[in-house]
Amino acid sequence: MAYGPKLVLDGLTLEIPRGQVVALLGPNGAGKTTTVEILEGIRRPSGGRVQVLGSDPIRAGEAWKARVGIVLQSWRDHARWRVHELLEVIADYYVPFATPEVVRPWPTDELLERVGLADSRDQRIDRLSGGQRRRLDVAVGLVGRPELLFLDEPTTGLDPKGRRDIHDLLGDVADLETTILMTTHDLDEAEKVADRILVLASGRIIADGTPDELRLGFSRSNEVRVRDRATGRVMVHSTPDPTAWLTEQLTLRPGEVEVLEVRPASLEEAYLSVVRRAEAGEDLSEIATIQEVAS
Amino acid sequence: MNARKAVLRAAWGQAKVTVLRKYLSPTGISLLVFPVVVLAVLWFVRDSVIDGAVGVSAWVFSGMLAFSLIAGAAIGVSAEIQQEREDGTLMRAKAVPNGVTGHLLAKLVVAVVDTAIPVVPMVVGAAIILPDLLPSDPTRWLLFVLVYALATAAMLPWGAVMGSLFRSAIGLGVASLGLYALAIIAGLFYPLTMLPAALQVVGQFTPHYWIGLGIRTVLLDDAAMGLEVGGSWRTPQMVLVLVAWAAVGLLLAPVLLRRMARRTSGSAVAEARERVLSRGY
Repeated sequence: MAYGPKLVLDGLTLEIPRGQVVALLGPNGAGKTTTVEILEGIRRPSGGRVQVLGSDPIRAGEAWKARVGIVLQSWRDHARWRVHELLEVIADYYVPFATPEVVRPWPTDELLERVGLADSRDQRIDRLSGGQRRRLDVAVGLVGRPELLFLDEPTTGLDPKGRRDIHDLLGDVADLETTILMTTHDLDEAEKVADRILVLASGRIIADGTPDELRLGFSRSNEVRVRDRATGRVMVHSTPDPTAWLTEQLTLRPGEVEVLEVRPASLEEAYLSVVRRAEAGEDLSEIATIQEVAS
Repeated sequence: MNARKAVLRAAWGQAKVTVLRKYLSPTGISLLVFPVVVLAVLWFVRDSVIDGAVGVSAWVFSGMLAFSLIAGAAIGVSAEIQQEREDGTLMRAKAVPNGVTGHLLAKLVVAVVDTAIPVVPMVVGAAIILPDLLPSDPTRWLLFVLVYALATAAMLPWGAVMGSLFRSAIGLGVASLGLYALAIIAGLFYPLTMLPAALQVVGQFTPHYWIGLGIRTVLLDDAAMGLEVGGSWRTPQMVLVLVAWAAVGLLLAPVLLRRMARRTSGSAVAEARERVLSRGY
């Protein structure tokens, strides 16, 4: 994907099996929104092949759209409408896409109950709190009972309680066997919600794996703290191979040092350092392949 | 249910909620105040006459009707389309199956209501306090409805064209001011023949002039024909010109609206939000 001469996505290869909850993680400007909009069929890629639910999104028809849910961030649209009115009007568009297996649309009151907005049914949309409003956005994304749900930064601008609510709601949605692809720039959030995290930086996927695999793959360095018994000085040393370093220290100075702590770098530090390295143009292919190594 | 019927049903539901929510709000209700003010002014000048032939109030009344139609159809609709692109309404429509089609159909219904809303209180008010302003025989009423429909068809698509062409509210605002300015040289509020010859020519290139002429044809006595260019109502030309504006507009509008819908993306909405939060417009 390129904007004029500027390449924003390059060599992005990605396959998501049904039912997985995937977080696309990356710093601002990494190409997350562009990636999602290409998958949603809202943006035309400048090259490459895209298949979502068996079709090319940009050419896919209305029936395809009925199987995909998009959670937009509401802002000031439909300000004067009541909550249930927006859901009912949008629900009507899904009526002809009901199948014997999937009842479409989701009945409004049932859906409002599910996203925790039953009490706000008759509220004006512009009088909802930030968290309630985002739940309405999720409800709008779910009203057609999608097989695949896209969310672009669903918790940006929410307070901690609002974030927690959305995370719980996403857990609920995942239980409906809905495949979820969300973007976030918050590692914590990705770790909490997703089965699988993709790290996008400078238009490339630089890491792909479960939260645990990423922790392993990222942690190139471990922090070792030792104390000199004689002087009491504490020494901190970073090393990819703490065992080797400690063996060396302990053999060279037997009885002189005391080991205080060996700990892996935190996931957050590791993530930030990987992103920095990717943005500096370093080759990170060994990190990108960790999933194959691990599985 | 078949797909086409479902879209029509959904669009109808959307139009109903839109109209309800728009006109039950304070801004919506304030639209009804304008006709009351106009009628009050007209009542005070009810005895003044231009050239011994036409009542000033009758002339201004027809000009006001034409102007509110132009404002409602072209300016109102274009501002709404421009805003919906930035506030995410259009993106919502894009995310839903048949959503863009339904949204535009609903918009059409709402726009027709929008152009009628300022006219109804004006006509009803006039019937109560200045009944002489209104046509007396049924044929003229029929013609009034026809002229009105023709004028709406001529202006609405151009509102859609403007709304899809201008990306920023500022550009659109300037263009809208242009439309207001044209009303001044199009002879809506006083006879075009009072203007210098050069401006008369310019005036006749605007759709405003022909819409005004059509409404005067219906509302004024034939004695007022003397004030018109060529001393005639020129009804065939009026119909032709308005049909031409409608035809070109109806060809352009769907193409431009589709192009606009295709180009809208979430990042455009996000950019607009950033801009409004930082700059305030």
